[in-house]
Amino acid sequence: MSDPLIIGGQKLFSRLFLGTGKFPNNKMIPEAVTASGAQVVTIALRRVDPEFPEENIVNFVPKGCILMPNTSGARNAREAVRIARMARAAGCGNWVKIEVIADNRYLLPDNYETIKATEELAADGFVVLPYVSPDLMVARKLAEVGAAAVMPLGAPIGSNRGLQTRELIRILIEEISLPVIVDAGIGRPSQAAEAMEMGAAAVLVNTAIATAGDPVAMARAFGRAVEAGRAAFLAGPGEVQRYARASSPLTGFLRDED
Amino acid sequence: MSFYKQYQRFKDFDYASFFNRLTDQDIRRIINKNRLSELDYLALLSPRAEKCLEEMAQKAHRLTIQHFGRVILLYTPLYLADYCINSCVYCGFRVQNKFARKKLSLDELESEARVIAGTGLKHILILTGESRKHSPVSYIKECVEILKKYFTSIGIEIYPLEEAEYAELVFAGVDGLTIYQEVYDEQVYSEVHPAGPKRDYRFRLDAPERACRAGIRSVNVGALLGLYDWRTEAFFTGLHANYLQNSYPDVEVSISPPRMRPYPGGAAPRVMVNDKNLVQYMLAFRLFVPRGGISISTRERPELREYLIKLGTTRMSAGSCTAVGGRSGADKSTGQFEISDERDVATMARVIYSHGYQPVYKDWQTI
Amino acid sequence: MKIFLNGKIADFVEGSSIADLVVLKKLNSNYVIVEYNNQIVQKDSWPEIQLKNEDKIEIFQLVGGG
Repeated sequence: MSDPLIIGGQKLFSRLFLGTGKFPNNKMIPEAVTASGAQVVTIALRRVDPEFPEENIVNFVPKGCILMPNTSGARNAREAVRIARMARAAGCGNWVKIEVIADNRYLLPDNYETIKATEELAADGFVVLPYVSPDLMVARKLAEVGAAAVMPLGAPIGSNRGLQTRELIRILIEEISLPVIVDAGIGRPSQAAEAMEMGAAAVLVNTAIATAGDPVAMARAFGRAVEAGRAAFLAGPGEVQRYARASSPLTGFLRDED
Repeated sequence: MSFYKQYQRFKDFDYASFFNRLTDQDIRRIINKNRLSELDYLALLSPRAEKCLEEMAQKAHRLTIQHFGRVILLYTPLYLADYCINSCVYCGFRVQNKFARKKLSLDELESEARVIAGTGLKHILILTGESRKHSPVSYIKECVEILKKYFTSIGIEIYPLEEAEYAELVFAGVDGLTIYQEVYDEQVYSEVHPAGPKRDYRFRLDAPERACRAGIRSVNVGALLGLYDWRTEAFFTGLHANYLQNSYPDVEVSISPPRMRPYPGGAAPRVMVNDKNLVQYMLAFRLFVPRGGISISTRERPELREYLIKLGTTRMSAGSCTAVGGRSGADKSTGQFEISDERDVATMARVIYSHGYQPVYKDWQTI
Repeated sequence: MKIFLNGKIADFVEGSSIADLVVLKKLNSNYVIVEYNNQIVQKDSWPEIQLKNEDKIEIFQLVGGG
């Protein structure tokens, strides 16, 4: 069954977005991307250290993937906009993950600055996927200013703690018409599957794959978990019964009148 | 934005075959869902769902307590004037009906307000017919100024206004709007409103939305049950409420399911809506919009109103009178329709307590 | 001549261009992004931009990230 996710006019058949940070070796990245099936791959932009120039990450991303540069390092909207424009100038296309972080202990995003950056970049023709703390009012604002999706965190970045924000994410999924993509915190394939069963449009995973004992095998496991979770969501799981059937009837007074 | 677009999506929907395809298992599955889609709501309004009313009632009861508590807000209508230039075939105030029309003077209004305030009520709903000549917005505003001294919440149920006029009344102290579309089916709407400004379907349909944009605190929509097929009318009312709640999350949205009542010399309902139908409508709406209010007026019989307390009702009118100047007495005019539950506020309060609920006279105060 | 390169003071021969700087620093011109006094400058204009005293140059590249 065809079940594409459409973002920024692009049809995506994989609902796993893969990050490329923290891999033990860049050569693993193409293998991991292929094993996971991911079509959207995130990258970052850094100042060059002229003493230790790094390899160009783009060379390790299989052709045909959508590059999604993030704005990590930005501490406010102005810096995020600057990074996004630079990434576009570098030939990364027009997708961008807005990430504005001014808190170094928990790495939690600054929702207010994120909205400002989203508004400016969406107006400038970017396909903007903002990374946020799950908050309904913020998500509504993001939709209003032209975000292409909303990416709430499940738990702090790199914490592998799973869907700690489950209830808030559930509310976003119910209330927001944009795709909701769970980003950050997903540590195991089962947690990715859980997010997909709840109705998330996709998940973004990096640390859990890049730091696994065997990143390529873990990438494959995540790809399958995301597919399974999505399939379960589409199948319509039976609802959990929270109450036993009450005993005293409330409609006993009704008679058939006709 | 306009609800009209939503209406058009379902205007030519094949309701009969949708209802025919439903199974008992579909209904049970929908009742147990956390979040209902528009078509889930329609399914619960189907003839098939009638078998599952008790299960729907248990869930509706739980949801209502969860979101509102065991509480019934009491309010009462106050008719300011019965001048009207419309010809609604179902209404006692229609222009063709010859009777001595009346409009409260500000002194008379104050006497009425005093009598009502004496019962302890703090929420009032003021009504007029449609006559910009006899009851212009400036008159409504003068009335609001007086009523503010006696009531903490003032709702209006008057002819549809422009957004700026709503803003003017909100600024003056109005916090609620009740406006029934009467009938969502556009064809029938045109038949039962043969003349007068009310013929403008769209202007009325968009009125609640204009009020939302003007900063109103609560809106109440409804279809007059008896004018057309109640299942589709209930469906559109629910969609309308849901649309407003989604578009204006800061506004409290509620519905009324008023059934047509006789008035002197009036037309009979085109469609009979029995108690079971009314209950099914309330339950389906509660499951579809768990936080939506449901208003039950004194149009309904006393014993039925008591049963409905546990089936999703959040607001009830009490001590009602549909005639202008009906309370302070001397110069009472003809009523808009006959009321059915004549009990006064104190009696209603006792009755509500006896069912394990608390009657609330004052839910909020605008500051 | 002193310029600010990625926030640090660096010494350069008077009259150097951005292209010279990139070669000197052994950077791969195919994938670095250069900001010259807060403006992104495209690669084809690098040879034409002569650096002046106290110019601000920022050089970026794409790296792994999530």
